[in-house]
Amino acid sequence: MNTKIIKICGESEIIPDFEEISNDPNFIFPPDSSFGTKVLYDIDENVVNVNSWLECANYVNGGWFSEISNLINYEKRLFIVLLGFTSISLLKQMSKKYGRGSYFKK
Amino acid sequence: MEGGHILKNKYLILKIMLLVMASTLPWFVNGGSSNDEVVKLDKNTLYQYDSLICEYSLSEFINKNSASEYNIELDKTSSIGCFSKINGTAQKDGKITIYVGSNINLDLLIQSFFWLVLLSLIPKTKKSKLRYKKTSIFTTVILIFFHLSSEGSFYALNSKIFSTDLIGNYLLYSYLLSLGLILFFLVSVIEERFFNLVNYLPFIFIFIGAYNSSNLNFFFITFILLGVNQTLINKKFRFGMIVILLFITLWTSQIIENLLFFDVDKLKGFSSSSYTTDSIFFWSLGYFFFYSGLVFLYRSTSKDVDLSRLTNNFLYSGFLITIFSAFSATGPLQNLYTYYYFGLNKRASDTFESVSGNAWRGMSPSAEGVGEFFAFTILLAITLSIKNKHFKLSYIHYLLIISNLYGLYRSNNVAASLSMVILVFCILVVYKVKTTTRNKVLISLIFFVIPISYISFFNTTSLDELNRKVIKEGLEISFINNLETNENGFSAVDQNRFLELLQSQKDLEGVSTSLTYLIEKYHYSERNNIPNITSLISTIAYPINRSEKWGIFIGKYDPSIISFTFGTGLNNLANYYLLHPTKMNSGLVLPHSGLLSYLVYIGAVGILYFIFYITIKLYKNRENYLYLAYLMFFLVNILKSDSLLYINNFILFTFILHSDQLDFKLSKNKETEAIF
Repeated sequence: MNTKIIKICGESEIIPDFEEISNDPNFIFPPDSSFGTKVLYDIDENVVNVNSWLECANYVNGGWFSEISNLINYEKRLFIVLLGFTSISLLKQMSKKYGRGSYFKK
Repeated sequence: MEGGHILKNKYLILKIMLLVMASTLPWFVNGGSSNDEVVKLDKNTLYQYDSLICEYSLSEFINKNSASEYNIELDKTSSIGCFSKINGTAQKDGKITIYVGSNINLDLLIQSFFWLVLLSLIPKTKKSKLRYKKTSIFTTVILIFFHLSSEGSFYALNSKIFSTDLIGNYLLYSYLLSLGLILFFLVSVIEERFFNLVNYLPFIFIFIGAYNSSNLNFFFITFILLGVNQTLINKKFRFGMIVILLFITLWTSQIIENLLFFDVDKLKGFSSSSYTTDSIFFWSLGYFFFYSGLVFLYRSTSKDVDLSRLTNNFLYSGFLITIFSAFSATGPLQNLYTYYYFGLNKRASDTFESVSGNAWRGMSPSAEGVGEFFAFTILLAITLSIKNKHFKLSYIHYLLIISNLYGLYRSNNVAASLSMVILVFCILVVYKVKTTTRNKVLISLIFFVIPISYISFFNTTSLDELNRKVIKEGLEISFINNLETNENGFSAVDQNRFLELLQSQKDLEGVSTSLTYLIEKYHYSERNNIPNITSLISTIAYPINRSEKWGIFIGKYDPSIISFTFGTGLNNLANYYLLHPTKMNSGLVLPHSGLLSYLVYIGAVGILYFIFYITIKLYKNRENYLYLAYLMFFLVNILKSDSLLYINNFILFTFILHSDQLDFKLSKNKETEAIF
């Protein structure tokens, strides 16, 4: 069994046939009342609520994940950090440059 | 001489701590989110790692699997979140490989930070104030943007989300902003150490500076920045830029077909991975700025070069290359570390065993290239001590020379070794033998007896066979499969009837224009005791073991008249390598001659200009024997090696080319610097 499925969806005795599920466009996942609803995400930031272990396993097998941290746009965060760092560096250089002159002495 | 040793550096401890942090934190801090214990890796647990991608950090993995037998490879396409985490496994020939995530943006930041701190270890000198800093930085960043957009296929292989779209592309914004920031700090580091940089130049053979997931090199960018800066200031450089722009117009107008991907392999960071208008523009203009930056440095600091310190640094570097090469072969983690933090073009050899040609390249991309470095280091140390009584070799110098000799021996570069020995002998004769007549006799012996005996010793094949050796090697890789064979199964090529091949126009489609030309010259030349061009090339190639390599080059080199005359653009081998299909179009088989590589780059006109320039240099410096010896050493070696295609060897060659300004006669106050 895929350890990622066990980690996200929990243990189960069901042996899923993912090929059969994917080949059947009308396949309906029967809800499992003993399975607490889980929220899964994909890289395009789509969200789905799964109500059974089999449904959960099927989505995880298809690349969906449970942690919101996987949706973080790291490049954007890095850019913001770099922008902050660049601004500080430029300000520091400017204060050095003009600090010697009359502006700051006044 | 201002500025002392690295060990006297003011913030040495702090900088060493920064280096340790840069080399450990990225692989430790990004720990896994999993609370599960790391699974011990073996063939049975391999599948578990495949379903736990991006869960465990490299350090967590190493703690659990220190004794396991595995290779470590970098998964360059990883996201920032998966940097330094285990991103997959594979099994090949019974050996397990684990893939560790690396990311184009973080590689740029981490590797640059490490090299910037290393640069800051160079002792400070009087400050060199650069003008137009911000304009230079901005221009360099724009140039790099051109590079990124021109090599999309290369970068698509190194990042899953790479794109050159300008809207909402934070990968690109971060990359360019990081670069701007790196250049900002680089300028201040360089300004304070400018007059000491050349003294520490030999260390570029350890810290090569190639980025893991970019086709760029830290030192290439550094000197582009200096070159841009000087072009803004100096009229001569501006004129040079106009000339190169005219050539770029010519080169780009000659594009028959855009080639979007060429595997640069060990040339990473100093060769184009595509052949398009943009890539020709970037690499040719980039090469111009890079070379201009180097020339600016050499000319501005020639009086500040401390030959004694420079020689010591050459010896140290040679010693450290040997040590780190051995270190890289001791385990997968060590091998990964030297690759990443030294900026190697390709992974260091993971074994101590020699490979093809009995050569061991260690951590260098080319055994030939590093062999030239070792041989030159020994040549420099010995000849300086012969010329200068103030430069005395100590026991430690001798130990370092021995370690360089060991490196030279393992690199198995016979040409570099022989040229080094002959040139040491020449310098010995010039400076130690008093009689002028004896000098002449000895030098004549060296220039005539040695080459003739070498050629007669190594030329064991018949003259007829020798004359057509290169043609046969070239035809070997050409697509000429439809030739008729006789009853014994031999074709016209097997029986040296190359004329039949020329008469069959259909077959000639598979034969390159250069090979066709050489076959014609071979068949139609007059029997007048003057060797034809084909025989001449074959006769030179055979004794230096270049028949096969030059034959392959001729088999592949398919220029038009214009591209033969003017080349196809600087630092771009893609057109030469891919446009004419041969049986040798995969893997990187280089021309094995600096002259041939530059024939592709700048054509016959460029080569003739280079020969003219070198001749003038040699003539002007005819009394400067050390300069002559060093330059001759490189000229002889680049004729048969690809070393000029590697950035560190190229920098060394350009340094020697411009070292005629140096004072090789050490004055008393510059006598041998204490080795420690």
